[in-house]
Amino acid sequence: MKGIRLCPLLIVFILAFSFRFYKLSSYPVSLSIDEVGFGYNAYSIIKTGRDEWGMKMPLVFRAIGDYKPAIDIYLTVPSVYLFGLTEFGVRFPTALLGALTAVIFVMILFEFGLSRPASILGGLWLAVNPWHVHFSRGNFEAIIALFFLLVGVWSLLRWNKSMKNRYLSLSVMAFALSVWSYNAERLFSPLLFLILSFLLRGNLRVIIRNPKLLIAPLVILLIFITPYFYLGFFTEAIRSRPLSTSIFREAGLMDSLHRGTYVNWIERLLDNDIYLIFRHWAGKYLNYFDLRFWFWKGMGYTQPGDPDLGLFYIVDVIPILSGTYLVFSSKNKLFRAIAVTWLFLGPLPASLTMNEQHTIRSLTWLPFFGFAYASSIEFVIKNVRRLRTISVVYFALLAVNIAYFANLYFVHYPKYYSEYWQYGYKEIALYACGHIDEYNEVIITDTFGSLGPLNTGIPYAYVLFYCQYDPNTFLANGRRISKISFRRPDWPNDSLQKNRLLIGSPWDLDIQEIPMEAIIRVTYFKNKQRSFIYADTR
Amino acid sequence: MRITNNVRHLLLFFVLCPGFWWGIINSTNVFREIGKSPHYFQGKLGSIYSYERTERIKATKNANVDLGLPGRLVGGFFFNEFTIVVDEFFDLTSFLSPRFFFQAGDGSLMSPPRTEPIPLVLFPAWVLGIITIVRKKNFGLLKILIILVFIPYILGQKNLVFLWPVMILYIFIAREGIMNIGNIKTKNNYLHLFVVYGVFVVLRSFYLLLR
Repeated sequence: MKGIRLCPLLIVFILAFSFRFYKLSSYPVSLSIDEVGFGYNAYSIIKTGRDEWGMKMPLVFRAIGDYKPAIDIYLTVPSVYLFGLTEFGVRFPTALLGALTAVIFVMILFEFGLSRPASILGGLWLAVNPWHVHFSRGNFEAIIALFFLLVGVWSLLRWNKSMKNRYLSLSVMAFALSVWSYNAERLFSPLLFLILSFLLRGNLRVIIRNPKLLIAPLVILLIFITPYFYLGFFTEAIRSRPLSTSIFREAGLMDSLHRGTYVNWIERLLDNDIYLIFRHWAGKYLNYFDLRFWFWKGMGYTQPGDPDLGLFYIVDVIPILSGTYLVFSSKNKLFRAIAVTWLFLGPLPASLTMNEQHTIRSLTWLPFFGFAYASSIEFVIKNVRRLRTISVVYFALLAVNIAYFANLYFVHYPKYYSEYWQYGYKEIALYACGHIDEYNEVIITDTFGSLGPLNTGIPYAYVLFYCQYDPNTFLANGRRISKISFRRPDWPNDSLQKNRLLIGSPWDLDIQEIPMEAIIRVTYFKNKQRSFIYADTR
Repeated sequence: MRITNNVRHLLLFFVLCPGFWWGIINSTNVFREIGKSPHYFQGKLGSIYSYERTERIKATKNANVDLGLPGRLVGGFFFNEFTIVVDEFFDLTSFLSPRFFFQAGDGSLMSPPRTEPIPLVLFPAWVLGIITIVRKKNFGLLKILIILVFIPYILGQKNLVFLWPVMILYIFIAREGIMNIGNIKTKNNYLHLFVVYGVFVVLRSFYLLLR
């Protein structure tokens, strides 16, 4: 069977591209803490060859202490170089790779043996999928990791058919890059690779009989794995983030454990810690198998109790559920084995962390649903009459669903959740830097929120980013920004010193306490709640 | 003989599920709860189109007001009472949640304490069982499932009193899944695993009850 032509792949790419790049700088409404961190570290690499902590070309970026995987930041370097330290510059790599993921997905489906129409429609499905589109529009490492993961899977399938060694080398490299890209893939990618290797063991035997063919893939593996093990065993870089988010940080679990102190042997047998941990984990894992999460509430664009959007469009309920059955019943053994593996393995990394139904950590699961969808399309194309009528109805409903998604994403989500994207800190940073010469000191709050001081931000990162603060100066000053402090201002005490600019949340600066002439500016979140108050003591 | 073996086999599955025992142990409470059904039904009916719910829909619709007339039209189109129907549909599906049956239970006296009603190891078998039932076109079973789950949904009671019949059906489905594993060795291994784990969770649930 010949390959897929360039034209359909281009159509998939253009559709995916348009969904991801439309008003990319404006939505989401603000750069997140992670995004400014990525951007500024990329900027620092461009300017000095070092990260914000002064480490030369690090393999892991310390950032705010969460040791971010390096791939995303290094991919952001050329983007920031070309487009500047801007929202677009930071978000460009993820949006582009997110769009390319839809193309790779078409190729994977085709490699599995699905028909051209089913493969292309599978790619189009991913191109407009709200779960993937949402995270492609912010700089999220999970998108980059998923891209490399799928490249790895595709190359392995290509190698399986063609037995050309370059595909095996590419696969090893892509899987390794996915591990270096995001924490979830650190568990998922090696597991998937091992399972795939087992499923393709017939061809692996050919290689083992001819060891020279293994040299290139092994060398590539060693290049990527050696520093990883070094960082894992001799530094906190690899384990820091997983430890801080694991289920072992949950009080509900830890308080229930006996930790070796059992009353008697019966308790040790029937109420042991291994079972308690297993059961706790199982709750998190099974919580992902929830139709409401998949099709109605998963994205969390509105407030609890309000109409919302799931990870997939409602119109895809029947294709995905019937497709799941078709996957299990598929006569294509390899496709069936891989897809079923993906179904059960997909939520595993996310289930080992504290949060329930975490959409970004479970992004590894997305391809399974694409497999189910494509299987359903394949079945319909081959077996169902009145294909035209069904197609018209389906695509009409899909268009309505997409319009609904657009309304939620561009109107409701910013309105309800702008503060969770640190909305307002850009303005603070630009104002502070623009007026720094007028003051002896600028104090910027790090705690804010419309319901109370519930959110803690990292405002220094926004000042570094938007003021394009020189990295050398930042390091030379001991990671301080001249004349700017980051703490909650206190008007009664701080106003005693003249020539200070205080920028605080309404919980820091009571507008009733401050003389009117001292208030320079009041800003608001998108939900029209007061966000920050600018007051000066001149 | 074949039928007897099947029944015996099925009974073994029931016996090794803590949730099965809890329906029997708490039969007094079960009847008491069933007696409250009319009250629950009224409560559920009242909550479907409640004031709070319709106000939330209005608030969501009003989020589009700033966009002018097109925004209001879009808001009116997407955010209306039909969303309650959708919400109720997914509320119904939540009564089928595998987490409830294979991990959490309902946390009340009607559910085994801190133990899953159906042994967790049967979850993959349950998935396979659903596939098997569909493949065999045994849609009667699925229709029974829908009817059985509709009862607790319409009463608004997500507990093992009203979901006990659904649980029984889930156990049956899981058994179907195991029995239709093609590889004899895999099937036997899975059965052995289930027996060992099932004995453990049943003993555990009684231990915690008596402690």
